[in-house]
Amino acid sequence: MTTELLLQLLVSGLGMGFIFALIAVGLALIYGMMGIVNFAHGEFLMISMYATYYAFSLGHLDPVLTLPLVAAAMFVLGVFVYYVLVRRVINGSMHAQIFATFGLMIFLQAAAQFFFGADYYAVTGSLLSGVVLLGSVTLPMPQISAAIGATLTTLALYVVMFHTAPGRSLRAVSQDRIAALTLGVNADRMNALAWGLSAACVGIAGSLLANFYYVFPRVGGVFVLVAYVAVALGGFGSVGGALFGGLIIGVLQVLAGFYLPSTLKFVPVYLLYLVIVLVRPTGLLGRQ
Amino acid sequence: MTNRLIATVHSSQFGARSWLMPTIVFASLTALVLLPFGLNGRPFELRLFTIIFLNAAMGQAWNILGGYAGQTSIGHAIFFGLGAYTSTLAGLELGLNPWLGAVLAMLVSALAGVLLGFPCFRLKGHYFVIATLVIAESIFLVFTEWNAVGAAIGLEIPIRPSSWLNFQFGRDKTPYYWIALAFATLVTVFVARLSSHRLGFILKAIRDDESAARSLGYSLQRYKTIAIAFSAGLIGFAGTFYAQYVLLIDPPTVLGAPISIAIALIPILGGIGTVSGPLLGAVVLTTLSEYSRAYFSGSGRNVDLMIYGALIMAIAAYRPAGLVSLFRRVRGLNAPESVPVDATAPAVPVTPTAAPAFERTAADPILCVRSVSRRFGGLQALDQVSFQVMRHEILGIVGPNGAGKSTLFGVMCGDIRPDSGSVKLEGMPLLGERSDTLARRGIVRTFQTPRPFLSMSFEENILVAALVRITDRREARREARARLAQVGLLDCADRPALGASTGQRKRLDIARALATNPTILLLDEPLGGVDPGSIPGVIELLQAIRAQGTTIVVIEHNLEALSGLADRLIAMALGTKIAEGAPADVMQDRRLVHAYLGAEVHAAA
Amino acid sequence: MREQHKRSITRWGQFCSTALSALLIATGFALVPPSEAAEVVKIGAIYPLSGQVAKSGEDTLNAIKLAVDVINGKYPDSGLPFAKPGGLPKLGGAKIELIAVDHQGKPEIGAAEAERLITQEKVVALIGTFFSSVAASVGQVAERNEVPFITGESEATPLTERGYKWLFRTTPSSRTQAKDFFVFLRDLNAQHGQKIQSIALVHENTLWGQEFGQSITGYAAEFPEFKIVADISYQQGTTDVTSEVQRLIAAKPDVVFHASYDAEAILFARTYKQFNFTPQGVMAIGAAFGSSAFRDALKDDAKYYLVREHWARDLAGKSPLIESVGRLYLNAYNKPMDGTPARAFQAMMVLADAINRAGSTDAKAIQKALQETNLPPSSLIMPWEGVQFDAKGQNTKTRGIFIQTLANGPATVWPTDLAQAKLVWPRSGPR
Repeated sequence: MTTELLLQLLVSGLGMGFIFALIAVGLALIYGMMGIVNFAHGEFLMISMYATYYAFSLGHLDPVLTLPLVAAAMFVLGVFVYYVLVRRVINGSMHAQIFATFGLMIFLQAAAQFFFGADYYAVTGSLLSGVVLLGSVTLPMPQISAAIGATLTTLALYVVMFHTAPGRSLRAVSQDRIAALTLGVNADRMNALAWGLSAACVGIAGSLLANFYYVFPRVGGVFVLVAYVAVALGGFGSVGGALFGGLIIGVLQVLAGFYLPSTLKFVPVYLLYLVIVLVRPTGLLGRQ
Repeated sequence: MTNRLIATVHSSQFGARSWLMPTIVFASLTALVLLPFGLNGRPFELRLFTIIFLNAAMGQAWNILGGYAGQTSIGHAIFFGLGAYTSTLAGLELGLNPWLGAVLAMLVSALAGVLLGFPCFRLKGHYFVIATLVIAESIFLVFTEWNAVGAAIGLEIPIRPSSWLNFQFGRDKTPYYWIALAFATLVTVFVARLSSHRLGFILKAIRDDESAARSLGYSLQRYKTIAIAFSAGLIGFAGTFYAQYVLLIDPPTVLGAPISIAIALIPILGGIGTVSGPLLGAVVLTTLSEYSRAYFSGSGRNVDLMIYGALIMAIAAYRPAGLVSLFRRVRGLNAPESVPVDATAPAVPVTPTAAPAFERTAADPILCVRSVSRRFGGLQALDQVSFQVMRHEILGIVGPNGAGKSTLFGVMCGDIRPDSGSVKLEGMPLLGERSDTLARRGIVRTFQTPRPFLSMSFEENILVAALVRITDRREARREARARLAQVGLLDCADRPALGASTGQRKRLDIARALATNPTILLLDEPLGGVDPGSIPGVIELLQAIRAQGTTIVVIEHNLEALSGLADRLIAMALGTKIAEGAPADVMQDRRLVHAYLGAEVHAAA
Repeated sequence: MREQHKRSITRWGQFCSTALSALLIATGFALVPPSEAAEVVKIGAIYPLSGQVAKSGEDTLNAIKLAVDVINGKYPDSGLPFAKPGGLPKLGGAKIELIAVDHQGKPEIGAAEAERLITQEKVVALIGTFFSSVAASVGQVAERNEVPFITGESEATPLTERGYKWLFRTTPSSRTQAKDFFVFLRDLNAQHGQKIQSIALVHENTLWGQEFGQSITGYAAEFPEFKIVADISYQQGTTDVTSEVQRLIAAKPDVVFHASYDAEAILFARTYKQFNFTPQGVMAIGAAFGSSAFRDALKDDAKYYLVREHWARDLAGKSPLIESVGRLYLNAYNKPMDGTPARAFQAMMVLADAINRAGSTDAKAIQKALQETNLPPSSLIMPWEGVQFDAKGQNTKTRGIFIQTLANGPATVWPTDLAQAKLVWPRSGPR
């Protein structure tokens, strides 16, 4: 194993890691807010990828341009899903919450096939395709943009959460809902805001992902388990933890895929998750 | 057998008996047994019912872990797949008869469950769910690559002549139907019995409130392990059945994530933690998905899956306790945490006695706390605290909020490990044992905010506690009722604990702790939130408890009440002990007044 | 206490009666007899219409629907068998009714649906199932119920090794196809002066991919001049293939043999491009690396991939039927036909032909007719030498082709007698 190769693997791993992180960040936000794991998160990803694809193929709009539009559209979708479905289960048991979003996942996958068909689509020739060569290391443009996107999104989230009024209210509700209510914070609206932000984050991820991954109704399932593990690894509720978790997973799976039979490349990731949560039952950066 | 059946069918009621129930059950069973003859060999419907029964059985089995012990697993495909592969491999490699293979499969699956639970039960909530997911996924991937088990190509069970011995039926699949029906019935009866058995109560208690269960003396690890062993073992049989049914297994078919989800969906949507939930869930979900696939899937538009997803969402949103809640109230599992106001608190009119009627003889330390310290991050919660608790005394602990009183309790009962120092019970040191072990050794605590088991009635709450040391149900029930009477809640025996007022909850907590027959009772603010009229009654109760030989340590803010109750007081502030002695002396202690009220007030006094 | 008692009794009663009602309704469905129809030959089609390979299932089923339309006379001028005047002549012009159902990729559901189609819908034959694992289960059911089952695209070799008398397979098996890879390379070395030695094998790890892998490694002994330097099996639905491609790069193969479905084909091709991985040739089994979706996604970079295919539209010169069916499919479904729908179309045609020759819907008659099938190449839409089943039910007259994507689109480049364009070898690297 030459240093060149190792470097390439690390760089590629980080690239994928940023993509996982970007997908995971939205999940972490929702969990931190209200303790719900959104099992339909992958389907939000899928929808944003379809949106990006159709904007590109029918509207000839480059994904770079449509990214903010897709994010905005996903924000609306997230809020909608909150009001129509999540609000009903938010005070219920964990089971009801899990299965409400599971049902949504199954429904959205089927609806996607119903409306878009089962074909695979790919965005080709956008501004974000191609590679950048740094010495002997190849940096694919989509991964670079995902890295930038993930970092910017996480930063933006922090800014929103800590330096804006709605963000502060969001954090208040997540820390102590009753207290926040007594202070006049509309907890319901804050929850909806969180869902909207989460969907917007994954919308950005989908927009970037569509540049190099193919879109089809079940694409959500490919990425979503990784996202959960990233969130859990980093600690449920910690957005920074999700970023961290995603990066670790990205690097680990690339290295594992090189040395182990490729089918098993995620097994070390899963084992790492188990080891970490057994030692620190709330993940790496999670709240105690 | 008939009596037992009646009793088990009524397990979720309050032990009532009737002739209507068993008649309905027997009629249904007979109808189901005879149904195949009416189906005229229509394989689709025969298969539909077979799958319904199989799903019902698996749902019940999942419920043992998920509904009763409260651990949600989305990885049960592990046990299904291991069961299928074990019996198949045993047949192929060792020539083992499939029935024996089934037994082996159940053992292997149960063992897998125990191994999985051993590290994972430490995980809470979603962490556990994700853990089950990733373990299942890992096993799936390993099997896909592993040539010895056929990898992706899977294993085929050789076709043998149809017979019960061979566990294979070719043309006429009716025997599969009966086996599945028998399986579902047996598992349902098992779960129903479990529900009213000691083990069932303990699991329900653990599900409702792990801390409270542990504080009474139940080892969480042990009981969860038992639950998963049963759950996994039964699913293992289902795996063998499936293998013998389809005669071809491969990783996607028996180890895939959709299987785990399907197994869990049935009891969750049917009604988690109930006996009838999985049955209802199996009937509704299976029928719907099979028919919609048969009639709608051909268009390739996935309309059937849209319907399925929409149904799941609807049930989760509108009937989160499951379909069963359409028929009856399911207690406690989806309750909001609000506590009803103590509107009609029965004031127990007893004249308070100022002096304890009990005469202590020699001062005999039962518990020695020596130089105990504990830090939480930047906060020194306990700093070199030392004192002794004398046998049969009532010792009060006072101090302002944040003094470390509850932390001290935590150390004394094993919830919290001290950084330094030691605690000795009857001369034997507590060597970092957990609260359940210590509870069995005789130290039991109540909680500042009462923690009743919300899905149970008043009496059942105490029953759980009594079952720690009394194995006979009847005797335990007697003990429970006695304790209820002792705290004046006997007339509430059958009411759900969910509706208890604060005062009732406090007394329930005390009665529950008493039922374990503790040597030392640690009471955390027993008068908190109790209306003034009821306080004398509580005080009398505590005195009576002490009179029966229990040592009591009380944290209280109600200094007036405490001074009439306690033999001695210990005052704490900021993690240190600042005073110790007779109540009158301690209450006058400058440092205590200072701590409670602040320097300025003291100066002004 | 009595109150509660009574209430709980009524509730339990409610529950039990509802549960019983549900069961009775289900039974009611069971006892409703299926609708009878005259003058119609019912055929059951079982395909994966949801899940990861829904697209392939859909495309294949669409081809069969097209075949049924042709047989029923919807395209009288197409020149295809039965097109004019439509219907099966020896059954009085009876039309075919296709009943399709989704097996969701699960063998057990496939078997259950097969049973239902046979016993309740009274189909006279089954066609399916894309996945070989499901085909095995359906084959079992067909065998037991003595109903003919034809498959045009389930390739797993063991399917025809079970001694089934009611299963017929028109497509060549995976093993037969694998041999073509080596024959092609040997050809290149001998006729075209190439010096190809090392082969890397990449395959997805479901039954299809693993079987292909096994077939290739099995044949390696027969072709000792080649060495397999890497065997990479990856999980379907992988998020990225960086490590896989890096392993390939490290192995430095002359040629890569590839077995992937559409989705990962795109992913691999893009990753090859990103890392500038340029073996002399990439040869794939299955249509993925030459499909229109692939070409759309990769644009210029789709060039020079080779697919071991079954059908190509540019072979129209050999038979006008090829052109005809290609045009019909494109018009009907807005996408070009490739080998898998083509094979399914052909299988349907073979089945119809057999039913027609049998002159009745009697199962045994159809079975006999199938066994006696001997279709000449001129009646086929496939570039085969005919359709004739051996004792195991396998069609022995198939031929494989290699298609290469060139500047003008896909073109058949091998075998020489069918080639429509010149093979480009080694494939040029990216510009």
